[in-house]
Amino acid sequence: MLTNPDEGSVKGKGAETMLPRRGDPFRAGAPAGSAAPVPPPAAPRGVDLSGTPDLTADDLAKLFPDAPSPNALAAENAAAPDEAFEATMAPYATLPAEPAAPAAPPGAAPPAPQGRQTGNNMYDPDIQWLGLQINPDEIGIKTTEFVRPDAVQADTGLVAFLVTDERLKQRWKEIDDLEAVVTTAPKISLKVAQEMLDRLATARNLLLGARDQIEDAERQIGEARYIYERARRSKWFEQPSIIFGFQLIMMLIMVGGFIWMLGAVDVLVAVDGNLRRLGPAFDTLSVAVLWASILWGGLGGVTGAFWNLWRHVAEKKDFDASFSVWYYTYPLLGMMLGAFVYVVVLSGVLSFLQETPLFLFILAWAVGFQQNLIFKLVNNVLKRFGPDDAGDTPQTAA
Amino acid sequence: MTRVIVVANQKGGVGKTTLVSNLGAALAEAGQKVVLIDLDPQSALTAGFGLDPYALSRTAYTLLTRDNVSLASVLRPVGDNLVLVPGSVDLAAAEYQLADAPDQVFRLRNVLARSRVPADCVLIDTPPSIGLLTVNGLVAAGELLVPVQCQYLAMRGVRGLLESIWLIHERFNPELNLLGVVATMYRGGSDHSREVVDELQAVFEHKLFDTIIEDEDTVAKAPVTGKPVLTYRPQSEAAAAFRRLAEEVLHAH
Repeated sequence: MLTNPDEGSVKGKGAETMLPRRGDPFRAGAPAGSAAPVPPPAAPRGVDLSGTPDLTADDLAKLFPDAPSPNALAAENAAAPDEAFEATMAPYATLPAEPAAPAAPPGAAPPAPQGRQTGNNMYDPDIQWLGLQINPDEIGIKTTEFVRPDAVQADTGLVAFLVTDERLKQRWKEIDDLEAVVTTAPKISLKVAQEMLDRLATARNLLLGARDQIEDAERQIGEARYIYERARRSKWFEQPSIIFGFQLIMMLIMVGGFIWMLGAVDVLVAVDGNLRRLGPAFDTLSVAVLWASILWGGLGGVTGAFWNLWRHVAEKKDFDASFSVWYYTYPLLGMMLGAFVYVVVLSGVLSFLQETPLFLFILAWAVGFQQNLIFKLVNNVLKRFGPDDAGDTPQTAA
Repeated sequence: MTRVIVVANQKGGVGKTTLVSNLGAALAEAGQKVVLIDLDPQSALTAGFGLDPYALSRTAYTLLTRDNVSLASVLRPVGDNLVLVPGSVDLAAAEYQLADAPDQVFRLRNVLARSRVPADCVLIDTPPSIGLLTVNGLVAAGELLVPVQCQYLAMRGVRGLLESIWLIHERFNPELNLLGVVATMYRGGSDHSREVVDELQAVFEHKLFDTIIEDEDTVAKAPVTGKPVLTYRPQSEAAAAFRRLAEEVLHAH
């Protein structure tokens, strides 16, 4: 029996077998002549399939008379969902649960917050007033406290892969760069510079210690960079000299207020008289004393601002420009608290001071200077009338 | 710049997984930092490195189906300079779960785009079909590597793949280039194997790699030991072939 020696050979069939009808997609749009000519796919020898239409449902029905029609099958599938398929896929309907984080041992104390000590310690962090934190450290965007999980044993293969020499060198260079700017940046106080240098030295030690300590080193570098960027981006009005000028102006305004008061006795007496016509509630009110209280409170605020400016710039050398708003608002708060003290005295709580305005003025100055005293006082009073903190919050009630 | 290479062929059994594991090992041996990604629900690549695809909590499935999962969090070290994103049988369900996702074909691409893993090369192993998983690989990659078993039916698989590339180019990833075609499972002394290589040469010209991967027992046995050939039999002819191929791949860049 003779056999065709070419039978079973793929010689010459490469293009027709492997290339799509549209040609090689990787040569589409290439300049003419740059690509190999691609012959159109040919039909198998001896069979001309060009123009052969696809089989219709009727053709299939003739070929397979016993088979159900495609339309009937579709209708059947639509009527009855494939329960076997759905049962198979059910486990994939929900995602696998993440492994639970290791629970803290019972009785373990929560980790101490690692917040940076800021230069402003006038406020007691525990003070709350009307439920609001007034500690400057706590003012700002609130975030949930992030508790770092215990470090897990690093996989040496992953460490070798992820912590490259290049990455280590980049971090080392970042430390070099930051150290250079810390020692030359004009807006950074000595304390802040010291803290940054400490952090950078720690980062160097971590990098020198082990490759898998890079995450902690990067954390230290990141915090040092944040401190630097905050100082670098501080505005002109956040600088100590401008704040000093503002306090000076405020002091002059207070002194001007006293001088005006001495020359405007008639006006103040007339205002007192007009107020008394409003009713007996205003009988004891003296606008002159109120005015003086406001001014003494403001002077106390100015003194407090001056004192803190001196303390953080000259003594502790930890001035932080991000607290500039505190310095600007302190004299204004002092003025308001001076008025508040007078109102308290009028209410009878400290009635003996009505006869001795000098003590009233000293008190107004004192609360302007040490404003957290009055906040504490108000907080304690409100606590007596407000809801009990313990057991009243949804968390503890639940 | 990280090279992302997808290894695909519509036909099964042409040596995709073998190529990914051994080419990855050879590139790593050459000093490249290599990430292997197993997108095949059969997870042969994962099993070939001695990992149990049924016992892994974080796999390519996690990467594709969950938002904001980083590449680094699913990596498994499988050799020096070589890490693996393991596959799992769950990948079979990923196609259904991602059916309504607007970015269903861009999931892997997005993961790689936001990854900070310092890899020189990412090699993606795909299943033997043009489904969502393979398309994810083709969309994420910059280069396509096509293994073709030295048999007629494997040649036919190339056509199915190239048909899909037209669509990928038009709709999702016009930047996908052909890195090359590798003749695999070559049987020395077989006229048929030689003819297939000749046809590959005629059609793909310089895109056909000079290195031909022969059909050897060593290649088949290596996965049993959980190692690539380069580790299992470093002095074997197969290991040498993969090293030569790695050199070609590096120079084809």
